[in-house]
Amino acid sequence: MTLSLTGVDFTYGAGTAFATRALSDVDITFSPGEVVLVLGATGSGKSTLLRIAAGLLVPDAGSVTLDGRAVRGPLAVVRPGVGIVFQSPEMQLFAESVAADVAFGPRNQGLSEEDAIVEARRALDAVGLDPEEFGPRSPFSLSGGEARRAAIAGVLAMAPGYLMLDEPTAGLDPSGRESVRDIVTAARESAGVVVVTHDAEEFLGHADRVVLLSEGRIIFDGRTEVLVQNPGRFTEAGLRAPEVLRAQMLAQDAGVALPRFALDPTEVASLLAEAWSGPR
Amino acid sequence: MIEFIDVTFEYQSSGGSVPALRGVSTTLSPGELVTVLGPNGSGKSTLARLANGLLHPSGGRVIVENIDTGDAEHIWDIRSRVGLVFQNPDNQIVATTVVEDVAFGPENLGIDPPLMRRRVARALESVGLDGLEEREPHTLSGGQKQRLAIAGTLALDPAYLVLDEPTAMLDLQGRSDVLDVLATLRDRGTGIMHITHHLADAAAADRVLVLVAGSIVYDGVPERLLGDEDMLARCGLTVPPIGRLAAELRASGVPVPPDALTAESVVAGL
Amino acid sequence: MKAPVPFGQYVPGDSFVHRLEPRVKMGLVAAFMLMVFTVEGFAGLAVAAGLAAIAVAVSSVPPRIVVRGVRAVSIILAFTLIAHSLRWNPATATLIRVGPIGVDAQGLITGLFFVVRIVLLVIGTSLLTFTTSPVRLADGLERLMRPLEVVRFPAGEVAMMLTVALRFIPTTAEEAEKIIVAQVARGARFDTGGLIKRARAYVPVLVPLFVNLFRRADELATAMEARCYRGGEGRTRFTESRMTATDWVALALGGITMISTGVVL
Repeated sequence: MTLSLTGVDFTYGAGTAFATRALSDVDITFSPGEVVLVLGATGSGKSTLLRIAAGLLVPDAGSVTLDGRAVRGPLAVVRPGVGIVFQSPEMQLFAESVAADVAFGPRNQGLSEEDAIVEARRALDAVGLDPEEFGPRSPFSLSGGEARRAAIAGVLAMAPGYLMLDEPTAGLDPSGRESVRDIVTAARESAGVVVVTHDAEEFLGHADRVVLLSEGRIIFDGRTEVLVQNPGRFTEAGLRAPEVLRAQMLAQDAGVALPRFALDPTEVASLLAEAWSGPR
Repeated sequence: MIEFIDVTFEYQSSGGSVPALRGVSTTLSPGELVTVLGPNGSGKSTLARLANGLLHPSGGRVIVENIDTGDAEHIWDIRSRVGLVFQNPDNQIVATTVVEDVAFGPENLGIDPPLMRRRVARALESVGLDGLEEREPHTLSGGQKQRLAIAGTLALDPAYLVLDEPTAMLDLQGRSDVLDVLATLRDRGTGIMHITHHLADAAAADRVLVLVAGSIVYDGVPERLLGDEDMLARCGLTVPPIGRLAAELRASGVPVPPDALTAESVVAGL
Repeated sequence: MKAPVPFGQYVPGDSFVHRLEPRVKMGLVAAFMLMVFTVEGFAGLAVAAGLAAIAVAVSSVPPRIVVRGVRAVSIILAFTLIAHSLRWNPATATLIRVGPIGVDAQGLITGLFFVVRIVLLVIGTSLLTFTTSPVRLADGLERLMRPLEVVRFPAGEVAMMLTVALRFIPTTAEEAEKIIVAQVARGARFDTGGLIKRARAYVPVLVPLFVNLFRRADELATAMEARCYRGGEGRTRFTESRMTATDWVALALGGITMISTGVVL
């Protein structure tokens, strides 16, 4: 089940004085079981890309296809479709109980009450919230991290073929961020995962593939290892490379000859230590 | 100086009273930047609200420049001496233009318009928002909104600034802009208490305070905390990859300082 | 994204009309409305229309924005015209007769009179909001209400409430849009079923919107208290607008012209 965007253009407020181009000629293909990181600075069009991929916005030009078939309308209603977790998704919780809230999506997909509850319990388990304990609670009684996870469960319960998340760890404390990272990487077992963020540090080590977006255009689309060897691309996209990579770039600028770049601190340490003792 | 003397605080909830702080003693001096770290629910926000008398301790005392925050007569003096900035910038901007919002505090204090104008201009200049006076707040970026919130408290001419996770909702650019403002204000003599989740923010601090379950588990220079993995683990803090790189380099004999948590500071050791 | 200027929103500028004291503008708009309501013939409306045209021209507000404001009430206008001119009994219709329906000439003229009147009222009031920022408007209202403080009317607090409400309209609208999109992404539909079903469909939007609003209100109140807000008493104002000679002259001349037109014509 491949999800493809071909030649996609999008302009907000087209035809008015407020027109702003968000995406230009975007070609991108997502595959199941893959974790793709879409990185871009604020205003690079990454949230628009997400909305178009999920069928929530219709592109001005180009096409979106799921399994070769053209997409019309929100992809959430089909199973398996495209589920999208927006920024601060806890803002959308509304039902009297966490279980009912998580079951909202499956119900809208046409599942019976019982089947929706089964899906809700499965999804709550997947985000590490015990359905027995959290299911009956009011969503407004949850802590920030719990509410975020409950909101993600609300999308997972729809059994998406693709799970797309917009800045999923923003505003959480370190332990909250870690649990969201775990949920996201575990989701690859059942879905293609797309994470959109401006913070390369957060997910780079967990992604198979990275797409760099700058001013509505894709300027890089390739394996994470390839990007790590070309950290200058981060700067081109108006982004900050992860600190560990930046350290290697700075070291190289200072004349330390590195055979290659790496992400793992231990590996970087040995590379740097070797190169450092070398010339001396 | 702000002094917290053996401060205890209990929240009243349906299930009885819940302790948020247990016997906390610490200080904040003018020109000092103190970073407060700790997991959610450790009492950090309570500490901030105690600093200017928005909350009063259940036990112990909070003293601002020799005035007890429980002294109702001087509460407005205390609030204008201790500025408070919150996490969500949207929820602390009151007025419909940048300049009117900065003026909100001085208006409340009944300050004369000519003096108010000077203070507002100076506050906007210190956070780098001069030139945006007539903008509507909702058209600003997250980082700009938060700097506006800082300007709004600076217009009260405070000696101390207490910020409760001011960068949690910002992007990296907004975050570094706010941190730059804090560094500048510290250099100008403002005492700053910066509550944060980012361990890296501790490197810039004069002192670090770590709260766990309402108690201070560390109060000292950043170098000692950041260089001590056992201490960090005990404080429930996770080291970012750059910190792990620094530690590994140190272990292999490269002289990287213990508080190196940025690429620049690590490479400086090479 | 940002919608184009809707009916009644501030159009920033620095024209003569923009610079007038808000209280003067409110007074003039009141006089204008009075005139439009009291004139009895098209001659009076013509004078009013002339005054409105001059005001629009001087205000430098683009006429198309003013027209857009009028267009917003076009259904009301059409209804007014039809209600006055249409006759179910063709015997009383003097202009056109089509089967059981007829159009009455006298009714058509009366209808037109009311249509012009409504158009003028819309232009007059919207010109006030086009040329006065919400802050200045709230400030003007506060100054107008200030004498009521004698009878313990909290003018300052009311003005503060207005300002805060104005401040949070864009924020709340943005939030509502975000929640709607998020619920659509969870399969919510707002466009199907009967009235009750559609109304129910908005529950997943309204509940979080209100919960967030209450949370906002709570945090804002704390932030205001931290910035020393303690009610309207003893507050000074950053923009304390003062009546200038120009304001007095504009008020006097405009007021006299309009009231006398209203009385005479």
